[in-house]
Amino acid sequence: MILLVRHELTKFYRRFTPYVIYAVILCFKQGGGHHFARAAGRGAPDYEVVGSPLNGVFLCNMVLVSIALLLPYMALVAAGEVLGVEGSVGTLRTLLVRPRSRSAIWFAKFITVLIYTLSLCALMYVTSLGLGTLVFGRGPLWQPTALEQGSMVMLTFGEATRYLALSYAVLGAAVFTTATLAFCLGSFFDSGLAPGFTALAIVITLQIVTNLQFDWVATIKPYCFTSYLSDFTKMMPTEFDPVTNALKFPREALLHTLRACGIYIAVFAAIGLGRFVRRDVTC
Amino acid sequence: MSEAEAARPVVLEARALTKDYGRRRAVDTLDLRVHAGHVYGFLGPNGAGKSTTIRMLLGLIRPTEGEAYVLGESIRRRRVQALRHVGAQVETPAFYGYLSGLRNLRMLASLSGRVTPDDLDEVLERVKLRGREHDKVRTYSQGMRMRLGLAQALLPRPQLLVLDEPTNGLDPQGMKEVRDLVRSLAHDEGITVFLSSHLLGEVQQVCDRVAVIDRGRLVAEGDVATLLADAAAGQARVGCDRVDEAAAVAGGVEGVTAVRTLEDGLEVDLDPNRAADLNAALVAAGIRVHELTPVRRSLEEFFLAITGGTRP
Repeated sequence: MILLVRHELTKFYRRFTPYVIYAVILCFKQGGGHHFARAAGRGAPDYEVVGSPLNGVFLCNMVLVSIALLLPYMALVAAGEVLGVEGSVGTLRTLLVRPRSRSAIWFAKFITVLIYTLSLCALMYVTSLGLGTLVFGRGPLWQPTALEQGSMVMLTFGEATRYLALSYAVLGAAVFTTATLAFCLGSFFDSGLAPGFTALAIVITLQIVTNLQFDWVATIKPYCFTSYLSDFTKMMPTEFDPVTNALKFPREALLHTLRACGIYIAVFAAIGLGRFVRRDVTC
Repeated sequence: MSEAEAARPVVLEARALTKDYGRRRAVDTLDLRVHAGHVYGFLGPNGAGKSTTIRMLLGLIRPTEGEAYVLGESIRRRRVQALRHVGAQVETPAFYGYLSGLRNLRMLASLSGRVTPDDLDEVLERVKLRGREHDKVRTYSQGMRMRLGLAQALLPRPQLLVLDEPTNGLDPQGMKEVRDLVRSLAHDEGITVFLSSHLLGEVQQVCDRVAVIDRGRLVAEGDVATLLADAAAGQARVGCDRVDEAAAVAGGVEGVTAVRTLEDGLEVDLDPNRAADLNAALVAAGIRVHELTPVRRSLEEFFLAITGGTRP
């Protein structure tokens, strides 16, 4: 399996697409930073901010909020290519006449998608935190949501880096869920583009539908995997434990999101793998 | 097939292999047995079911009914074990164009087992790709891709080599080299080769046995020499002058059942024991006979005869 994963990573990272997506995300991140700078300039009416809130973790947090809009779409285009392109160029038949089980080949590709999705989040986290700290220095993180509620939670630099890492990881899990959908659609198409664009259509449709103001939408919304794409916002603590006076870890929210993403990933993967091991390779 | 050949192990077998696509039957209860050491040709017109059969034999397509066995293992139940000692090239070889030829070879071969640099050198030399192995595959010509396809099929040091149209896109020199390579693999190294080709002359030169399928059904199978001899049995070619007169005389000879006139003689269907009577009758009629030989059919003529004139 390690050999297969190594081969898949080699093939994946020798292509153009992953680097284009890395580049787009890095460029978009710059845009996110400027957006923050303008927003921070307005301040909050009930508080007087002494000194600049602008520092590495604040920038990292703002980048997270900005980039979360784009990341799922980028990831599913790349994920859709992993399997679909092998069918379109015919390398799938070259691969499948080797003495390796179809499921092993499928899992190697699946792991490649996982590694790529997590690498996108890791790249964002490391570069935004690293560059932000380098340019704006270290400092505490003030929670904007807490400010809106009339209270303020301030995280030290160390706490903020840990909770931001958790938020990025949760975003990674949600993005991996959508990437899994695109990857698994690759079992149904002999095309590099069709799985990604089909997944894109599904995600956008669900996002539009789940934002409609109807009762029935509220009922189905918790069951749509696209709902979890914004769950990373629940990972930052907004209150203290009254007994220990420590920041309250969002355990319930984390478990709920991971459980939901896990179920969706398992369902998509089961459908995709089931199709892949049984399909006729006519390409 | 001689008794010694028949005693050799069966390395590739199809038992009542059938494939339906919706209501259309692409392959119909096909039975094949390929013995070790043979070069086995697989022929059929376009759309006869050749590619579907090859894909079923290699586990790329699931048969609707029937079973395929490769090196004694069921391809459906034990695909990985069955393909362990098989090298295959299915249709036009497809590679990762953004990787070098060598990288492609290393990657694919490592999935079949351990490959040493010496193995790679040897196979590159064999398929005459030495010197271009570090170039990206997208810069390769069609012929070079075919050679690379052969190289990847040879790298697992297979006991069975399945080649689908292995000379497509090659120039005449390249085609001859592939023919020589296939012969050498079979006769010097004992590798069994199962190849499909639309070049009937090529199959006739290289293969020991052939199977012909048409509309998904097996229509002929056997030694090339025996098939051609059987197809021409009871037919003779008569080289003579005064063709029309000769045809009239030949038609009256006992044992001659059909006479066809040619530009320089006749072709007759006759009881082989009556050949001397035919000759005597023609000579007695004052016709100069300069040839009386059994008809020898080419594989192409044989093929056209049994598939209703559709070339593969």
